[in-house]
Amino acid sequence: MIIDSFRPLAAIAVSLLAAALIMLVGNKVKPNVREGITLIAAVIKAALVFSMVPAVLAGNEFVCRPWEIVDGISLAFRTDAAGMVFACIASGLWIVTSIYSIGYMRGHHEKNQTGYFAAFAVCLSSAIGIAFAANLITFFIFYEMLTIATYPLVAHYRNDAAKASGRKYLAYTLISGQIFFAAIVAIYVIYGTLEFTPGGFIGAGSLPAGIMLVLFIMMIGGGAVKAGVMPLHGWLPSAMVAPTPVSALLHAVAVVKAGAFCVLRVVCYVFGPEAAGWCGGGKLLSWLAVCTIILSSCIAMRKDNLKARLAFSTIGQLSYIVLGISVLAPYSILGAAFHIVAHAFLKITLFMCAGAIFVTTHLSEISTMGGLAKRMPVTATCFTVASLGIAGLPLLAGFVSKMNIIRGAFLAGQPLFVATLVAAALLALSYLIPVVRIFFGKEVSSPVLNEGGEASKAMLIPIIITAVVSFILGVMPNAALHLYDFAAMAAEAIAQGGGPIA
Amino acid sequence: MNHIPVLIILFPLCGAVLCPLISFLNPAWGKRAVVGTLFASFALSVIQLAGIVQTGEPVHYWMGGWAPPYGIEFVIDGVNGIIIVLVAFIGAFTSLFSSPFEEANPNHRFKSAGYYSILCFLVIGLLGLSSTGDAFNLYVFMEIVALSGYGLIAIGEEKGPIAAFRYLLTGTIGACMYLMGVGFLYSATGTLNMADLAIKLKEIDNTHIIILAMACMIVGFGIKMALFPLHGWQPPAHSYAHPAADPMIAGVMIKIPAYGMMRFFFCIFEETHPAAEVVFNIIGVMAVCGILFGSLKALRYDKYNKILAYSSIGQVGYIALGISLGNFYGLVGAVLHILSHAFMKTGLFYTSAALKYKFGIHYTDELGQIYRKMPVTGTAMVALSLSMIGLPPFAGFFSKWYLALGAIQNGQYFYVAVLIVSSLLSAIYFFRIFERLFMGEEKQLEDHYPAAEHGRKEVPLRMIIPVVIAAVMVVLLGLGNTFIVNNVLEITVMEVFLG
Repeated sequence: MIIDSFRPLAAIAVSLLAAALIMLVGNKVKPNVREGITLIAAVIKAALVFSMVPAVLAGNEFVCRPWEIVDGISLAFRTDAAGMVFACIASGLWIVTSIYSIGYMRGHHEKNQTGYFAAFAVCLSSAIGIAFAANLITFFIFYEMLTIATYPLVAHYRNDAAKASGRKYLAYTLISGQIFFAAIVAIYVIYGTLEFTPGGFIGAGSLPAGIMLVLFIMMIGGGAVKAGVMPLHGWLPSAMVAPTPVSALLHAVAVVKAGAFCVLRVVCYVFGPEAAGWCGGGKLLSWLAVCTIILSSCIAMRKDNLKARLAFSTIGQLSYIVLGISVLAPYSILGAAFHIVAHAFLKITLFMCAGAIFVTTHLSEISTMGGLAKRMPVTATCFTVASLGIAGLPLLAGFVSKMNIIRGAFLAGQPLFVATLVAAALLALSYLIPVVRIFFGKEVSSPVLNEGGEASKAMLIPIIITAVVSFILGVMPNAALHLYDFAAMAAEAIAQGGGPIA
Repeated sequence: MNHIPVLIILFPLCGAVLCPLISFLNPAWGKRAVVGTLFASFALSVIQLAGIVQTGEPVHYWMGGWAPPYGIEFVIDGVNGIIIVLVAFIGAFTSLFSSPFEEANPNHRFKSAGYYSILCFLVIGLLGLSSTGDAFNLYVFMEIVALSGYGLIAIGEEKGPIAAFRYLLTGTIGACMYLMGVGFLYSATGTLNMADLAIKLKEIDNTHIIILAMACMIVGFGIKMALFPLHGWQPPAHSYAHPAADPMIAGVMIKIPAYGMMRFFFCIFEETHPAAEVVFNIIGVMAVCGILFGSLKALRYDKYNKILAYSSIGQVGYIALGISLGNFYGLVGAVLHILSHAFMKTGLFYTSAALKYKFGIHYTDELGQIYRKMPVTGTAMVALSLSMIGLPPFAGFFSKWYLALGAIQNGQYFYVAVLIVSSLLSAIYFFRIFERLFMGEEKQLEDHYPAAEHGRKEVPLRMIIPVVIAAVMVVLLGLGNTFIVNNVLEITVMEVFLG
């Protein structure tokens, strides 16, 4: 059933308004008030998104078509199952990240916090817009907004390193974005529609395979850059110069997940599994993903900087999602959609731990963190939990998603992908477990680790929350928000290839 | 008879002529005469457009009641109706914007009055240029625009007179070419009324004379709109013109000839004429070269106005590209880009003038942390620049969308590639400005006019308002583009241009 409602639009608008408010009054009011605005907006946004959960779960969709944005195409928002998955984690984790940001930014005495919190709010608006966009043009508008809003966050420190990584980030995202744009126009001219349709609206054989493959590549590039699929991942490790909450946001919630979500929308809702497989795009993408998983894991092992290691781990895990999608089998799509959730909670925990360690001890290299568990036992424990989750151990969120992806690949008769996926899980263990071992090692490698205690509560509580949630999601994937059900609904709709729901 | 079309021009004409006289008695009232009449003209233009949208019929106004083809006729349809609104709107706000400059400079009252008067004449010329339905009358208005343009450029910065002289030489050639083209058409048809020309040209077998006329028109309009490779006069003119009049010169003055070109090639010549295809290809090549040249050249400069001027050469190429596509979406894109680029460029030149007024800043490397001192100007700069790059949800993106749509419909994929490359190139130079704006080293800056400013943080309200309006319009025009496309452009473009 279709429910006409402004709730999707309101969920997007609330953080835009918050951003405007922060920009206007941010420097005039006390920091507490400013962060209060962020938190209130985050809570309202999450409430709006979560309030739609029951109805969507029952098979309804909230649709909002405020006005025509270009001749013949409306600005359109629709809360389908896949969109809900992304929207729920983005809005849910915004609250957590905001609390954490407050602790981090104050603990670290950062400058330019007003612009920081405003840009953060715009990013979240864009993320929700991306989640709820019902057609490609709406999607593209928010996708580009996300690119621009993330730029000030990447370049936050405003020094030469920040400038360089900002430029790199823009070069990757703007170029791919413009190519994406050209492909959207071409698809509109050829097919006369841009509406996301489960199972795709492009028929296999409706264009010569070569041309369709070119279109596929042009479109997928937009997503692949943000999802860090090699060889388009270059911006991601250098974006590490940004403050840690930004890295957490970039690498767990908004940007990379928007990229993965873009891949999902393009493959499953524009081309559809059939056409994507027919033109050879699916195969191409899955091989790229396989290479990325293996290469990034190998690179991650050699990184001594904790954030850099996590960045390469992100690249690998994102390609897990991409691989799940490009196998084009229902179970693997389910797994991929759920891995958006699982990886979000796990990786945000890891990044927040890294940030907490950095703010309290000013250590950023893994080799200097020996014996960290003595000073920061909670942080070290949460880090361990999340590491095991990333590796895909049972009882943690990563297991649910990875198992489904492997199951899908197995049923689709792709033993090689199964092997890659299993190997990747072991590789993930191999680069994260050594870190855990160093944390819990007897030898204390830095004098700062002998005194003092944990990070401030504003940082510690979010870490505990996300670690606990990733455990809960591993045991009961359907807890609270029924995200597993949503992922399953999305995969089912794609497999059945129903017509446009709106 | 409905006299609005002529009143739109007559009001500012009175203002322009009376301004020096009133200034003799009281300089403040002289200025107010210009500002007031321009705002009146803006109000009338809105009423006129509302009428056209309501009835769906173009307005025909016969000067002095003389019927065409002998009398001069004003024809206002949806497309030029909205362009007239644009010109009057920007004209009115630019006159408002100018006043702090004129007050801060201890000029003789007549010099100041002369400035307002010339600015007003520029607006009059542009309004007439867009309204008229008579080929020779168009020439007259074109000359009014050019003459006032020379004046405004010459009273600008140090190199202003040289830039003005250069424009004088080139501009005169352009006007002559146009006049020659009209001469050829007149010799073949014996009429100067555009509608009449269109009918009579259909019966002419002599293709040579039409081709000759078309060639003259391309050069004539091409020079006036600074289309590559006829753009030589434009960068110095835009860089050295009077800072307060620059928004009008850079933002609007080069767009209206583009509209004139559109009108000639779609309303007077038949777009299906065998020669037209060649002409469109030539315009297309000029457009592509201009887009790439302008964007590449803009990368080389540090002077804010120079960057903007070269970017204009590229952006005018967008409009020409739309014309050369010759299909519905191409033309919609071109008209929309006339509107959106007018606001973007005018807005950016407003910010440039504001920077000059406040701190005497000319170069982008002086911009370090300026957003702390001038938050409104800084924010507007960001919004307008993003629109220039063509990023959603700003207006520049949507005109690019229509142009790309038109190009792909015609199967000209190369043009889409050019649009993309140009967007990316402009991203480079605008983001470089952002880097300097937000991350550059803070410079010790002194108020340029300390006496007038009394330590105020931003520029005066009369300058802030136009800046903000330009930035807001860029957003509104972007999000509401279908309102214009569906209500105004659709019918006109289909019937008048492609009918």
